[in-house]
Parts: sequence; C-alpha cells; structure tokens
Amino acid sequence: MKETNSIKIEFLSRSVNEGLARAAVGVFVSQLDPTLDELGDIKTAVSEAVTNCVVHAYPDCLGKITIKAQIFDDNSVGIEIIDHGVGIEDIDKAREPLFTTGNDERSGMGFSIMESFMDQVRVRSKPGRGTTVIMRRRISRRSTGK
Amino acid sequence: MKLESEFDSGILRFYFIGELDHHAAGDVVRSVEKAIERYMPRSCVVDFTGVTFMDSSGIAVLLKTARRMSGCGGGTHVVGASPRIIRVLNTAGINKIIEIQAQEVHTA
Repeated sequence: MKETNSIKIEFLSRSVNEGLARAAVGVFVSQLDPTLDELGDIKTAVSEAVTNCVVHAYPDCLGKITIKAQIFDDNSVGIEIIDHGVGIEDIDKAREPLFTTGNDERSGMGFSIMESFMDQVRVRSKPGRGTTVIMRRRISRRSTGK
Repeated sequence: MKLESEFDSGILRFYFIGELDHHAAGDVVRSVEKAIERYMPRSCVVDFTGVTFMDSSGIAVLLKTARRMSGCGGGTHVVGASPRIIRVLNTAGINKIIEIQAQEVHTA
C-alpha cells in the first residue's frame, strides 16, 4: 500500500477552527470521489477528534493541533490528529460511550462516533505529553466509467 | 449557526440552521434555556431541517433541552432530522429519550 498524496495542517485550539479542520480534510478526501455519506462520516469523525483536543487536551490554554492526512493507492484515507496537551490517563475509559470529563455541554460520545463512522481508530496518549488519534477509512470505488 | 424560535399555543419551536458543533453549541444551549425559562412551554419541538452538519455536540444540546423541559413537566421532540443526523443521535441512543421524526420526503 503506497501513499499517493498527503497534507499537514496546524492550527490553534480555538473552537472556531473545528469547522476549518473538518472542511479542510473534507476537501482533501474529495479527491477520492467519496459519496456524500462517506464524506459526512469522515468530517464528523474529524470534528469529534479536534473537539476533544480543544476541550480536553488544552482545557485552560491554547495549544497547537496538527492534522496529517494521507491518501493511499488502495482508495483509503489515513488521518492523524495530534496534540501536545494534557494526555489521557485511561484510554479505555475515555473510549467508553457516555464517559466524559467535560462539562454537561459534552455528551461523552466522541470516541463512539469516531469508532462507528471510521474503519479503524487507534489512540496513543501519554499523560502530560499529548494524544494522537489515528483513523482509517476506505472509500468505495464507484463505477463511473473513469 | 443560526437559531430561530417561535411560541404558539404552549408549544415552543426552535429552528436550528447551519452547522451544529462544539463551537456553536454553547450559544445554542444558552438561547434554548433562556427561551424555555421565558415561555415555560408545555412541549418543545426542535426542527433540524436547516442543519447542514452535526456532531456529538448536538446530542449534548438535545439532552440539556430535554432535561430542562422535563424539569417543567414537558416533552421534547425532534423533527426534520436527516438520515445522517439520525445516525449520530442513534449512536447515543437518544431515540429512547426523545421522539425523533425524520425529514419529510417530498415527491414531485
């Protein structure tokens, strides 16, 4: 499996950038001619991961969020969302549905949605060092006669 | 994200318009709570017809609305939800707490 294209974007953990992040990844993934559903799934998962960085990684300060996205020759997309914030003590607990350390404006469903909308979700984290969420999604090939 | 509301015959109706994410959710929750406190409605209808994107932040907004409404003895209903929005809501099992109606399909 070979990488055929990639991007890297970095932005501050301001909530207004959540929309920018999912839009940027959406435009990049559009090269694979995804269906609206596939594109919506990916944008939703990116929005969840970036929101986690804004809310949990940098709770009392602004920090940098990096997104790396890759397109592979098997028509799949890989997305990494990287922060250098507080990290996650217990990753299994954080991934449980309805678990949140956020206030009642959070539902605790972020990881569940990433897991149900993407083919693969891996989380690496070190308390005090930051968190990386790595997601993978295959885009169906459409027979458009191209 | 834009929010419009109308109150008629005891029913408070909200129209959500645009992208409902964490960035928008705080203002939406504050506006919804303010309107519920002002009108003390019998029931509340949230119209998602104009929502172009929603992530799990929408779940938190609906849970808060339903909680506030049950505090004054009323119910919460969702209308106009696209299949994508219903999928996000169902991931959290919201359909067991709040009645959800899908977007009407208009045929020519």
